[in-house]
Amino acid sequence: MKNSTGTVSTVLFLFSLPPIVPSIDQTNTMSSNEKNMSHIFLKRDQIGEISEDMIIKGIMGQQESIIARVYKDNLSRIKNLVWSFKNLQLDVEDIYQDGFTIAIMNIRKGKFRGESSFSTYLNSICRNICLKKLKERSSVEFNSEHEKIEENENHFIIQKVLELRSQLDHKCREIIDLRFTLAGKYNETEPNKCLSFDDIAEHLSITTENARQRFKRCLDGLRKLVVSSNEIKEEFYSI
Amino acid sequence: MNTEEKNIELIEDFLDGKLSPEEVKGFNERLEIDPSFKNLFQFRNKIQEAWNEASEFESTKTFIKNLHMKKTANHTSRKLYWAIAVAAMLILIVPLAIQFNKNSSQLQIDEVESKATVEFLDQKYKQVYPVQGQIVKSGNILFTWESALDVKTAIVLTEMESKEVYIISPITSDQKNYLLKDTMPPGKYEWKMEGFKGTKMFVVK
Repeated sequence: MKNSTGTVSTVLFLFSLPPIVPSIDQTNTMSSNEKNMSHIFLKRDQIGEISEDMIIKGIMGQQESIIARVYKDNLSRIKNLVWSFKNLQLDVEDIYQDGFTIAIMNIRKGKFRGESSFSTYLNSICRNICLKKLKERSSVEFNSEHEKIEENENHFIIQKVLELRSQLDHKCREIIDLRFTLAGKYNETEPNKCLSFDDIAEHLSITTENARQRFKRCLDGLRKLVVSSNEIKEEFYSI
Repeated sequence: MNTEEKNIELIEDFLDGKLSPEEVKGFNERLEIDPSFKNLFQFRNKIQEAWNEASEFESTKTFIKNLHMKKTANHTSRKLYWAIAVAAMLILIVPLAIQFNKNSSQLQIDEVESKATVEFLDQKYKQVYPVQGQIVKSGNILFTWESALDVKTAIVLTEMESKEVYIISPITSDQKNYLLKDTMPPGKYEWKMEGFKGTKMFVVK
């Protein structure tokens, strides 16, 4: 008796699991204030045909369901592209994620002008990352047949800054993050807005003077790393 | 303090608007006549822009990775659910009660273990700012929690009246704060970490 009750309750449990796909259906309408705030949920059959407009809106509004779907839809094509660079042993997923990240950032900053489909745009970014790696590894000279690396213009600097950042100690990374207004919230209208040393001091439970001294020392350390790197120095010192 | 550090201090004061009009004039004149000072000023501005872009790149990539992992995990668990369901049906038809009870017990054990993990994480996670009912000014709200969470998660802000999510932003495993620079519309909001229990209500005036 006890056993059969356990059996029935487990079966009922299995069938009472939540539905796989959210059922709210708001695929075609977006009010003005929804742009930044709401999430679009898509039924599985509707997701098969995502319009370009929905992709852009989904990325702008950080809609997980759309971004995940677009990621999945383009994965195999990009894998084939990366594998076509036969002589390079490249990390396919890493290149794809880098390319996808650049595409998302460019869309959010309005750099994607919609002259091609998102897939074509993503393809071109990933291709350019592969070409860049090819250039780095094989000293191949780029000629006019190669695409211009316009979309990826910052990718190289970003990678180098991340490398330099990893060479700083935790306290330096933390205070520079705070002063430069924290990770990932770059504001184009005020690109050099800083968090005050009073706020930093309060946050780190140190004095304002200590915060100033620590930041100064850490920024100088970062400067020395930049100066010692021939690859990146000219990006910051062009005079 | 070396010369560069002194110059950095001067530049930071300039950026914070702490120089007097005369000092600002002197600062601008120095930019014109002192190439190394101009170089440093240029570096200071460019590195902030590049640093923030790199941070944005890193957090966006983490978000994408997490999304991909979640999707893969969902896909796997969906398959697992179906496999268990089919097994359960077979057991109904050909009742192998003892074997089935083992599975049932295992499910309960997994549930208890999962609950224990969540409770452990929740104990680690203590929201520091804004606290419950705190009134904050819009713009530059620094959300802080007591210690790094050791897992990748996301901060979720919800507008309480409409129940609409205002923002979801990825949080790395070593992050202990999150700065929201947006000018938020006045109202009551709730903030929490995805996957964690605690929520705090705050008011934007």
